[in-house]
Amino acid sequence: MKKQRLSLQRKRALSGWVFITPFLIGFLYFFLVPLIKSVIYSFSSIKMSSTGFQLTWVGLRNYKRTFAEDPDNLRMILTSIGNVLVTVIVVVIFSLIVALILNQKFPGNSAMRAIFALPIIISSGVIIVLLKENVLQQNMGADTVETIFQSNGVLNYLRQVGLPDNIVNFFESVINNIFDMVWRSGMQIILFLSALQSISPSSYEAALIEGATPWESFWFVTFPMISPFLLVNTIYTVIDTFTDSTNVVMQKILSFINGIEYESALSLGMAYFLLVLAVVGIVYGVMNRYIRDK
Amino acid sequence: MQTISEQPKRHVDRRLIAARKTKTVFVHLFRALLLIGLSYIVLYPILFMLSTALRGPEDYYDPTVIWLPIHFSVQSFADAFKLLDFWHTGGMTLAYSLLASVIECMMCALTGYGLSRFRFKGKGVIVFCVILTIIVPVQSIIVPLYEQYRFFDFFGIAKLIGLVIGKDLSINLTNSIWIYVLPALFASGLRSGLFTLVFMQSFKSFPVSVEEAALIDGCGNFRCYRSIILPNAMNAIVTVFLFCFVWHWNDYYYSGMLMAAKSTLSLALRSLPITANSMLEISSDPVANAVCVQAGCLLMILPLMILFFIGQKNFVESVERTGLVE
Repeated sequence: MKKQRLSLQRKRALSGWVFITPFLIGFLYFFLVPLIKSVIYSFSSIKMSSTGFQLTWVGLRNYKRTFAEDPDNLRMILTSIGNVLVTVIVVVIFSLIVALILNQKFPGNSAMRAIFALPIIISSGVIIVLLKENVLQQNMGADTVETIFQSNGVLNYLRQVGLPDNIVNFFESVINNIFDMVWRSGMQIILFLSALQSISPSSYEAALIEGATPWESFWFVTFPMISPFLLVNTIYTVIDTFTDSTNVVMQKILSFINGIEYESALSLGMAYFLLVLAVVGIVYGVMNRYIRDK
Repeated sequence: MQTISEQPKRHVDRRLIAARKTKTVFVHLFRALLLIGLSYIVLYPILFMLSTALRGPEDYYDPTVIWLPIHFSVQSFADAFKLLDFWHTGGMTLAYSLLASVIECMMCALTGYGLSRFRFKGKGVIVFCVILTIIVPVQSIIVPLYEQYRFFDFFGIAKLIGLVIGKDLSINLTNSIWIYVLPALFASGLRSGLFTLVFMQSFKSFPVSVEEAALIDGCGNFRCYRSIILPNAMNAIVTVFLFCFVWHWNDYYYSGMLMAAKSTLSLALRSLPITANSMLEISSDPVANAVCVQAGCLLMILPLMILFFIGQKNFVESVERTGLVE
């Protein structure tokens, strides 16, 4: 009896492997091999020949050239971390708020949901690059402006009220980048919405009967239920912002490759990848612990 | 929720009720204003494109024209259409995107099923591998990837045969449809990791008992997958397909590395400002150029918009269980 059960299990396991075989091959050939090669290449000098790349081992020279001789690259990477962290915090909070609002019942909410999902289909490509790069700056004969939405009036007012400069500057960057933020939040809003819709109404009812205020029912019912999605959304936003094609580092790598400077592209790419991995790891570690404790 | 709390109780003051009512009105008003403002931000680029692209040359420097053009003209669309070579490039892009997304969708579903339903050693490692493919930006592996496509040789098979025959058999796959289809065939295409995870999650929420019943009735594993799981996962499939199509259609980083210039719509659009400058007679004028680019952008997103409004429910609403409710 026991032997038969085991064999059935083994059979199931085997068919599981059959189902994932294509992925395994693809993972090896289109991911793992290039990744390992990337590491090796970044320590070599590369010459293109008719049959493939000719490599010579040069040790750390590529990295030295990319980072020591051109300090711009290092500075670019460091600024991009700062930008990503601010973006992530603002985008996640913003998309949570919008999802909470859209989850309420009011006339026209399905139309609103469609509108907020619109950026997903447009922002993931060349359109946003073009928009940012040449058109919004020209603004049809008006004065050239750097960003689309700016409000110096509000900022001046905040300064006059006497808020510290740091806070005003933070507001300034948020307001100037509000277009970016909203356009980045499409996917996150949808994920949060689907999480919110999966919470059963009876738990709110129970909270209400127990005498919870809306504020309490948000923190003790809604928040714990959507906290896994909070993690997912944060990680998604981190990766999305880091690998976005409008990101300065990404543009730089692309321009290196188009200029056939493969060594620079590789060393910059590897350093950037390690950094992304580290940030994702830290964010995941911190948030996972926090959510578990909850 | 609100209906319970708003039930009038006798001892509650009238004024309190009135105050609560005004509060609700204010909350509604605030919500409406916030949403309208935010949707203005979302819609702004599209409105801007429309308003710009529809202007006739007379309106270019007219400061009284802000949103609505006085002299309507579709000339810019005609120009962009011609410069992008829209029928040809768009047709090619459509073919690439459709084929690649159908295949990628199928293969990711297969992998997702394998990872959600079967128990075997090392599954955790493989799930980690899937996540790793999402985390690692394609940019950091693009150079060897380019080499692999440029001198394509599947695990050295061509070299092995080449040793026997004495010829180099590696093929150049860059600038062909294979750079999309081949990784899709092995569930490693554009954002495949994400799609695999989506499928994995949605298959997990599907009741096991139905499958068990089918297995007991003598249904094979693959048949069970094809005739029970897939028909019930239509929602997830449509969602993934839509996203996959959109990302292929828009993709410009990956294809920018591996395809020739102007061979896909997004690449053609990327170089449209330059093309317009050199091809149009009017285009010493930067505004005319910008108008043409706007028209090009609209042409590019038009198919996506149509798709979006057809599949809107799937984009927006969560993957819900259809048919089978336990």
